[in-house]
Amino acid sequence: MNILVTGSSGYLGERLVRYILLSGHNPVEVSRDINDTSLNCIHFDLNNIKNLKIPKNLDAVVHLAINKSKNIESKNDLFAAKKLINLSNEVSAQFIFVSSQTASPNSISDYGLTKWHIEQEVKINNGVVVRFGQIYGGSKKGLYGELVSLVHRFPILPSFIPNPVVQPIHVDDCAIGIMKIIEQKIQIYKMYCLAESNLILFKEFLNKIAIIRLGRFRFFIPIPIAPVKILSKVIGFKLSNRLGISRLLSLFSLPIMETKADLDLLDLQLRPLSSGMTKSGFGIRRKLILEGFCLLRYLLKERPNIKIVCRYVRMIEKLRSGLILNLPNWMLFYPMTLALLDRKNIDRMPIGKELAWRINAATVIAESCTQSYGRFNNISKKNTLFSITYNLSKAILLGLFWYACSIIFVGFNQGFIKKKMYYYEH
Amino acid sequence: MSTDFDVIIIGSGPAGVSAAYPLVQSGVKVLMVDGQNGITEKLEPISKPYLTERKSDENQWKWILGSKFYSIGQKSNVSPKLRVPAYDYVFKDFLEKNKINVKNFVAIGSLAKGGLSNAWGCGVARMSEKEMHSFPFSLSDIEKSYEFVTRRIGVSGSYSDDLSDYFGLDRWSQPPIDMDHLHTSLLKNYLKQRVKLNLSEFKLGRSRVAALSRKLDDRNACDLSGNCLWGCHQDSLYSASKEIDSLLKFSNFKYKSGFIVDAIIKTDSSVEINGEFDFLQKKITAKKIFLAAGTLATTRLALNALKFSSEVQLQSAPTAAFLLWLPRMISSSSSNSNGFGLGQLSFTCRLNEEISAFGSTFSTSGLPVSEFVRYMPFGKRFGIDFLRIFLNSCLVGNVFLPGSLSTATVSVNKDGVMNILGGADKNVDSLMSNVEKILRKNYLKMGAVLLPGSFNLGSPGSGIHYSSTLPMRVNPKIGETNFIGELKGLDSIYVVDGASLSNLSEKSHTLTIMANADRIGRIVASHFQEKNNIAKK
Repeated sequence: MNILVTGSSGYLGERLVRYILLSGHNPVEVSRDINDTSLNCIHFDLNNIKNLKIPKNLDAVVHLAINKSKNIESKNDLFAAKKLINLSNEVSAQFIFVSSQTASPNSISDYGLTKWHIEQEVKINNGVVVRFGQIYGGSKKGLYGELVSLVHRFPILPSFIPNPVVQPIHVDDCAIGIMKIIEQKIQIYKMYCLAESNLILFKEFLNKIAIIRLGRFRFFIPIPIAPVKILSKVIGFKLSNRLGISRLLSLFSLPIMETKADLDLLDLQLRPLSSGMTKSGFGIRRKLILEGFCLLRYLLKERPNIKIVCRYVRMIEKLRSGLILNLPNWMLFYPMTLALLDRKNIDRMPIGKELAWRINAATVIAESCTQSYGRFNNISKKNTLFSITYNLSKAILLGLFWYACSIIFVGFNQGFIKKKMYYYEH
Repeated sequence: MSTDFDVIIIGSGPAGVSAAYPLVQSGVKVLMVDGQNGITEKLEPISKPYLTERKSDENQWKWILGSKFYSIGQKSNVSPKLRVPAYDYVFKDFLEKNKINVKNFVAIGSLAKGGLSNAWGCGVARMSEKEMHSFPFSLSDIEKSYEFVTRRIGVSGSYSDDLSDYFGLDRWSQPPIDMDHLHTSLLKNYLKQRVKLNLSEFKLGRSRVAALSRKLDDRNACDLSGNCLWGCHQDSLYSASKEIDSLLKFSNFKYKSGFIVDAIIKTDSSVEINGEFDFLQKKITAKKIFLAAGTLATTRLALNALKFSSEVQLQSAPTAAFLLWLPRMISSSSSNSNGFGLGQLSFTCRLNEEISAFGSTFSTSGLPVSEFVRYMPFGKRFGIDFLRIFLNSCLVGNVFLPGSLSTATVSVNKDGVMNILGGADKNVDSLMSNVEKILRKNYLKMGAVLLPGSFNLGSPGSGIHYSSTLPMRVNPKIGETNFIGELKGLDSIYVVDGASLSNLSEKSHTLTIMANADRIGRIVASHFQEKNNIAKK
């Protein structure tokens, strides 16, 4: 399929073009940032729509482009959208407009208002409207990019009262969603609402950015919303628009979207926020690193060198299809507690069997590095009969102690026995 | 009719090269083929002592784990050797390329140049008169070959002790390689207690191994660097692959690597091998063919050539392993040192009139601790705590019983696929527990404890001592061979490897295979000479 994408160098556009290519289709990029004059790229500016010409053999037009400059009248956006709808009607391509959760006739921001007007145009012309929730993940662009740099810059962040909620969706899931819509090839107007159906506190969203994306810890101080609203009224619409306050306020008044039906309709499964927040957008690697770190630390009794943790991850990816072992979080945080599941005859539990395999493999990995030389070999020069007897008995007694703990633990945690060996993530 | 070669030898392992020498030396035109892939990646052996490399080599994971985690992928294998990435090329693709199916049996073989000798335990011994009882020739017929082969490959361990007669190689061998302090102490205690021990039941002595204690040609003596498991940079350990180079100095010897033989076809005046070489089907003819592809591969080729579909017996020595603890050495200051990694002391155990067991003990210092940690009953964290100290006063041992106690069978189906069905005699368990008792009793007298629970039986085939599928007999039937390994029903095809041994005792059988190949090679070479002489006249 030939799919035209406007705003192809933007936050979502970039990922969408990549995904179109990955799924074996042919993207035609339209953007004002393109200087490439090759076949599949068209240079064009929203403010200069009259000169736009599009190829004849298009299957779909995905309209993402918006005006970045805040001073220019948003009427240009509406005009450009109308023109694009006409053009795509001429070549009988499906028109898909990517709108926003803020689109509403009563929107306090220009942005939301324009989007709503365009949506009405699309409706008349039997196009498709997609409203995404809070798009996040991938490169630091768009609103998400601003939030990441905000969290990056400030050690203390606001926790608004009452706390607003967001419905996030990963940028790659947006791309997948758009492709699924194109593949459905519907001829009449339809609006899709795509985002996480569970509401996520805005504070929690920022915290995930801090911890997972940036690996930092952030403090939150409560700030009531009311004074901000008053401030915006005082300084007037134009100024508050320019300062970005109206954008912030539109966040507070986001309408909640019912997304479950549309997600089911498209058979679109969104990745969990914690995996989407990682740089790769998958989170499997991160989970495997935590797992490897835990196992190796348990064996080595000290912080493992990151090189061998990576080696563990690559080993799991190669020999175990990269599946993550279903260990509880408290075990990952306190590696010592692995001893509760590490003993002979633990095989009757699925998780115990796989854990035993992984601990054995981790032992080999732990032993083949310079860090572990002293751990696996007795390098002490003073070997008295006393010190040796002491160390040996200590090892045996501790071993037996944890063995007993393990029997008790497993006995009281029948749920553990039925626990699934792995869990999967997209 | 003229043929491409006089003799084609299939296989470049110990049997193949041993048969090749007498033929090539007497001027016979020989072609040797093996299945080694031309682009095999080989790891260079490490050059510093094992513990030094462990302490300082940042890239040690490449030879311990393997860059593709070979070691972890092979975890289910019995022997640590089968997990060493450097030997990947030795064992690779053997079963698939040879079309062998296995059930309840550990089937190991090699397509590589030099065959399994690239990764063997180097155990050598000579068969006794009694053990040769079922062979269709006498000990004196093979004596010269034993001597020739022993001198050629270099054997160490010559020492006047209780096992001198048992090994029977001292006249032709180098002195032993130095033992580590644990073995030294064990042997000292044995000599002290010797009068109190029942020597008809248990005997101990130096191991005789195909590893050099003195320089031999371009191979160097063992420098005790503890790298036996990982690959010897001194070339002290014998490998048949080294001998191909010296054979290639003869102009009448040709060697083709990467030729996997699919079929052997006998015509009136010649025999030919068909196989794939450089992605093309090739056909090479010769007057005679020597099968030396290793017992398993040879058996399949021979049975297919004979179109023999009945089951045949496969002898395979039952095996066990154990851990021996020397409590007095627990705080010895010289612990944790490098040393020779193969058998240092060997023992024999007489179980009854007919059956004896044989085994050796090894140092644990060149082995990864993780090899032992996984057998610990409690958490691996404490297992490491314990073993890092404890292993310094431990030895590992292995035991072999005679191959006739195996009930494994092989058969070839109409598609040419060979099926191996493993199994062991019902007496093996009780015999092994007898061995355990005798060893525990005798070692205890020598101040060593055979650790309870450490004596573990290997599954059928895991000893990798296979033989006697096509045994030499005085009056061979179809599926057997005559006194020079020639297949009954298909003359000009000779079985010169383990497959043609008439019987497999508990001893290491490689040297006997080599001596037998040498003997057959000599006899066939003399046949060629006679024919030439007649032709000249």
